[in-house]
Amino acid sequence: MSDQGPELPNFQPEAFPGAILAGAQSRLIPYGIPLRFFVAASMFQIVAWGLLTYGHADVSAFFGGYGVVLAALHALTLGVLAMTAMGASYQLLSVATGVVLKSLLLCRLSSWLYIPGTGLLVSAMFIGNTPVMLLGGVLAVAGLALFGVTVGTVFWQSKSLQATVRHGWVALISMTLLVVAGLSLIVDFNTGFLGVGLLPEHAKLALSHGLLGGYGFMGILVMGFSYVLVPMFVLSPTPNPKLAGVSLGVNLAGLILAIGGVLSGNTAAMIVAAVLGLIGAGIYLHLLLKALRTGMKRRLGLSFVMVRASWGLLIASIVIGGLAAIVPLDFNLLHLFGFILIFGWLLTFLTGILQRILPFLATMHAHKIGRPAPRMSEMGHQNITLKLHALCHGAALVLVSLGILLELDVLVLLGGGFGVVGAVAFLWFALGVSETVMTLYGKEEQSK
Amino acid sequence: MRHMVKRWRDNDVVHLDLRGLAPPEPMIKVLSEIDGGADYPIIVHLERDPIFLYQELEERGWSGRLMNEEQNNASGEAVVMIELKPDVTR
Ligand code: HEM
Repeated sequence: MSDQGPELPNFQPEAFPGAILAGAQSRLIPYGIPLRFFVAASMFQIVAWGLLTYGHADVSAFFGGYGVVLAALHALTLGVLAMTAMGASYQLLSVATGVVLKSLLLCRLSSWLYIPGTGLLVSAMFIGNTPVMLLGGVLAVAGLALFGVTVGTVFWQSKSLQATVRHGWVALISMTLLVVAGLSLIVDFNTGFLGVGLLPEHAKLALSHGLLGGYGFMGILVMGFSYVLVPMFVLSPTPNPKLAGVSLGVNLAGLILAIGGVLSGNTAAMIVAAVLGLIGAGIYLHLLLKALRTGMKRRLGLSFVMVRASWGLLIASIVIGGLAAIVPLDFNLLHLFGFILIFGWLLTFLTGILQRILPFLATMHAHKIGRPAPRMSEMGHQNITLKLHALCHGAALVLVSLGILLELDVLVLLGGGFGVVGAVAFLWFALGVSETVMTLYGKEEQSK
Repeated sequence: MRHMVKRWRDNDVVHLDLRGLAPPEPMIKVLSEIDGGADYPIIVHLERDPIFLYQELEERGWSGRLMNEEQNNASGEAVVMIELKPDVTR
C-alpha cells in the first residue's frame, strides 16, 4: 500500500500525471488515516447524544457507576474528542512541525485497536459488563499508547512550535495518569480495592480522572493545538510563546490543585484551582482573540462562531466547577459542570475546528494530485449540514443544561434529540467532504 | 536561527527568502506581498513545502509550484515559484 494517497486498491500516486508534489508532500499522510478517525468520531457523536437521550431520566441522578450515562460520557470523550484529536494530530502535527511521521503502521495500528476498543468499552459501560469493559479499556488504552508514542516522537524531534509541544507533553502525561485511573476504576467495580490503605476512594478517583481527562488530556491538548491551528486558519502571527507557557504553567498548577483538592476533600484548594484555571484560560483567550483581531482572514464563517462559543463555555465550565466545589448538590452543579466541560467547551471547539480541517485536508490532497479543488465552502453540503448542526448543537446545549439545573428530564430528552439531529447532520457533512476527495482520487485512477 | 526576510529582484522575478520564520509567518509574508498588488512572479525560499499556502494562492488567482522537489529533503530548502494565473489580470 502506498503511503501517499488514500487507501484505494492499486493506488500509485507517483504515476499520476499531475503529481508534481507527490514526493515532497510526504508529510501529507494517506487520506484514509485521518478520515477513519474523523468518520468514527462523527458516528460516535450520534451514539453519545443518542445514549444521553435514551438515559435522559438518569442524567441528573448520576452519581458514578456504570450505565447509560457513563456510556454516553465515554462515547463522547473517547469516541469523539480523543478520536478527533488523534486524527488531527497524525495529519496536522507533521505538516505543522515539518517532522515526517516515522511509521504510518503505528497510526493504522492505533486505529485498529482504538476504534473497536472504544466501541467495546462504551457498550460494556452501557450494559455493565466489567470483564468486557476491561477488554475494551485495554484495547483503547493500547491505541492511545501508540498515539502517545507517535506524537511524542514528533514533539521530541520538533524544533519549532514550542508552545504546542510543551502543551503536548503535559497532555500526554495527563493521558497516562488518566488511563491508569480509568483502568483502576474498572477493576474496582469487581474487586473494591480502592479506598483501602492509602488508595483513593472510588468516587474521588473517578472525579480526579474526569478532571485529568477534561482539562488535562483533552483541554491542554486542545489549547496547545489552538496555538498552531487558529493562526493557520486566520493567517495571523504566532501567539507569544512565553505567554502561552505562562498560561500552561498556571493551568497545570490549577489542575494539580484541583485534583489534590478532590482527593483530600479540601474545598479551599478547589476554589483556588478554579481561580488559577480562570487566569490560565484568560491568558489563552487573550492570545487567541488577538490572533483573530490581527489575522488576515476576516470572514471566518460558522466554524469560528463555534470556536468562539466554545471559549465562552470554557470559562463557564471553570466558574461552574468552582461553584460546584462549594455547593455541589444545589442545582445539580456538579452534573452541569461535567456537561458544560465535555459537551460544551470540548465538543463545541472540536466540531468547530473539524469542520474547518476536513475541507482543508481535502484541498491539500487535491493539490497534491494536481486536481482543481472544489471551493472549501461548497464541500459537504455545508449550507444545510453545518448550519443544521450548529443550530441543533446550540439548542441541545441550552436544553440539556436547563434540564439538569431544573431537574426536568423532559428538557434533557428534548435536548438530546436535538443533539442527535445535529450529529447526524455533522456526519452527513463529513461523509460529503470525504466523498469529494475519494472522487478526486477516483478520477486520477481512471485517467491513468 | 535567522529571522530576517531577504528580498531581492532577479530580472522580472522577486525572490523572498523566508527561511527561519516560524509558521504561519512565511505564508503571511507571501500573501501580504500578493495582496499588496504584486503582478510579478515570485520565487519563495522556505524550509519546507508550504502545504497550506497553495489553497490561499488558488483563492487569489495565483498558482504555486515546488521547483526543487528532489533536492528538497536533502538541502533543507524548498523553492516555490508563485505566479499570477494566465487568465487573471490585476
Ligand atoms: C479523554 C478521555 C476520558 C475522559 C475525558 C473521561 C472522563 C470521565 C468522566 C468525566 C467521568 C465521570 C467522573 C465522575 O463520576 O465523577 C469518568 C468516569 C469513568 N471513566 Fe473516564 N474518561 C476518559 C477516558 C477513560 C478511559 C480510557 C477509561 C478506561 C480505560 C475510563 C474509565 C472510566 C470509568 C470506569 C469511570 C467510572 C467511574 C465511576 O464509577 O463513577 N475513562 N470518565
